[in-house]
Amino acid sequence: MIDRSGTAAAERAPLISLDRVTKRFGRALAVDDLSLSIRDGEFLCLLGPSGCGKSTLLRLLAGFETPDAGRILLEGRDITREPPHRRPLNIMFQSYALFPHLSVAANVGYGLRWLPLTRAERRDRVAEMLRLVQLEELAERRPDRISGGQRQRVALARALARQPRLLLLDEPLTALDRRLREETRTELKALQAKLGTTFVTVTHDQEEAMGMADRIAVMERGRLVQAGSPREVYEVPANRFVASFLGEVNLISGRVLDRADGLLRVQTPLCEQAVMVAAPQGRDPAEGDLVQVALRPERIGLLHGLAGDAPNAFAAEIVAETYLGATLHLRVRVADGSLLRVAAGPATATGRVGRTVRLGFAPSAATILD
Amino acid sequence: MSAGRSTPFNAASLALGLAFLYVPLLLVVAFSFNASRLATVWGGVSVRWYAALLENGPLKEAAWLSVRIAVVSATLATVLGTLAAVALARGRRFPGRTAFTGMIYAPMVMPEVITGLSLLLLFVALGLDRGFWTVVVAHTTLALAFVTVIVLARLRELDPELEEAAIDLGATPLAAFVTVTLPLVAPAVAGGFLLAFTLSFDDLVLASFASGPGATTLPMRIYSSVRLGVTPEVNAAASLMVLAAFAAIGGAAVLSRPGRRA
Repeated sequence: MIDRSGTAAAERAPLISLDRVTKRFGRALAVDDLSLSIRDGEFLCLLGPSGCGKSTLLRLLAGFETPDAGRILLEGRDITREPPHRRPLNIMFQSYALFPHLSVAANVGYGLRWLPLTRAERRDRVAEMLRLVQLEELAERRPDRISGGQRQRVALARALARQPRLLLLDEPLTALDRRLREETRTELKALQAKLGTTFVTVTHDQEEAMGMADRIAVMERGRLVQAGSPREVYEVPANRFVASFLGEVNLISGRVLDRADGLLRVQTPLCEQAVMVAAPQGRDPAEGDLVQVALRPERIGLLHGLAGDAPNAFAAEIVAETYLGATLHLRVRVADGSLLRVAAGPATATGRVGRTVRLGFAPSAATILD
Repeated sequence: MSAGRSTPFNAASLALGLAFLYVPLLLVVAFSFNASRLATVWGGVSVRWYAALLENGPLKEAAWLSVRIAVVSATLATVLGTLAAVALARGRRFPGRTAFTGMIYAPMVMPEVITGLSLLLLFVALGLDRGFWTVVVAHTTLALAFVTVIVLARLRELDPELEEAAIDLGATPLAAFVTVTLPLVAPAVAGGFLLAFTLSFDDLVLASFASGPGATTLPMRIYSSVRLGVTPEVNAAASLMVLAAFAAIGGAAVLSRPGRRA
């Protein structure tokens, strides 16, 4: 299953390609010269803060907005100007947009009215969809007589009933309460794997994106910043924005001294001797360049004993600790007075605020950013 | 109404306001059951004037004309007013949209005498014979504005994503409007129709300007007979009109209640 996100899907032709798409609203640039290929059968998540243009991108795909420049191709066919009701893709709206005057079954069957199906075929398809989302008992209820989680499933069944090539999900979990959200996330992923339909979700929640998607496309101010598997995006962020948007990160500025064997020696305020960091792929900082060392809190370890000659070891004073059960979050102050976040394991001793400890990280745990 | 308290002051002002509105109406209704021939002298209870109404040919004719005019003009006003509301609510922003919205409302605040006079000038200039259709046009002009206001209010509280969802699911924009938007605003449309009906049925001013010989509406007939003296028969006719108007307004209020489900 994992290789769907990697090689197998990559070899397949893209289902939809956005080719240098630009969309303006007045003077505001909502989508800025964006190119992206969506592979057949993948679960792609458009991730970004509010106002980054991800919702506009969804509306462009659905056909509710027309780009000012660029093309949208569906299996090589230009659908840029095709009206939304002719596109073989469906949206699950954030508000669900269920028709309040129709029953659950009639909502699910609404999209089938416009397909050349017999009455019996329509009825069977509705029954099948209701079974898929386990709502057979509620078929005759009105949308205002069912719970929020059930409404979400009706919206999902309605959007899938036409067997779209691509399902667009606009913030699919935002309207649900926290506990239901995690459960639904798993269900959505399982459903997508079962149906093999291409899913594209939009979210501002990085946890949601990491938990569902095969591939994450991070957007910032109308541009696509990075697209890759959750692991790639998290561990090798393309820039500071991606690094800090996906989870927590410590950014430490430094100067490159030299490089050797794929390692850079970077002078940082952490300690007197330079730290060793794996050289970034595709970029080659020269000696003397100013860079940022991105270090995830959970990749910093507490060193026991003296271990003075461990690479990338430095001393720091614990200024605050927060025990969260699974992890112990520490705020530590390093030599130059700046603060770092450290996420230590649950077995770490607590009650050490004010003490100085030794910390370290592996050269491969840090990333060099411009 | 959560903040409302029934203090003596509130109760008094409500009673005063209601009295101001309804005492004259109640008098008319009461005197319509007066046995006496003199309209203002009480002579016991009787329904003889209602029976006499049935015998009054010109009055019945006028009532039938008023009903026909009200049905036709309310239908026209409902269709046109609903379309105007849809255009104002759903259309993309266009220059002067606010001005258009204001212009739709203008007939509501324009003195009816002015509207009537301008329509009369128009009909004369066009050389139209005044009668049934000119009154219909006049009443449609007035009622259209009210229908637009009622339907627009309902459309604005409707989630625009509902129509988009329908289109996304394969409905053409027209089919989406007919199968989703229209059923959801139907109560407001029906309420608008009833209000338009009442406006037309009760109107005296516009009808006086727009109608010609041979097309006398019920309010015109009542008004002209009152000039010869108020008869109990007129009271009976007026009472029936009050009843009809209350029924229609009550229906309109129930149907266009905000948040009502189809």
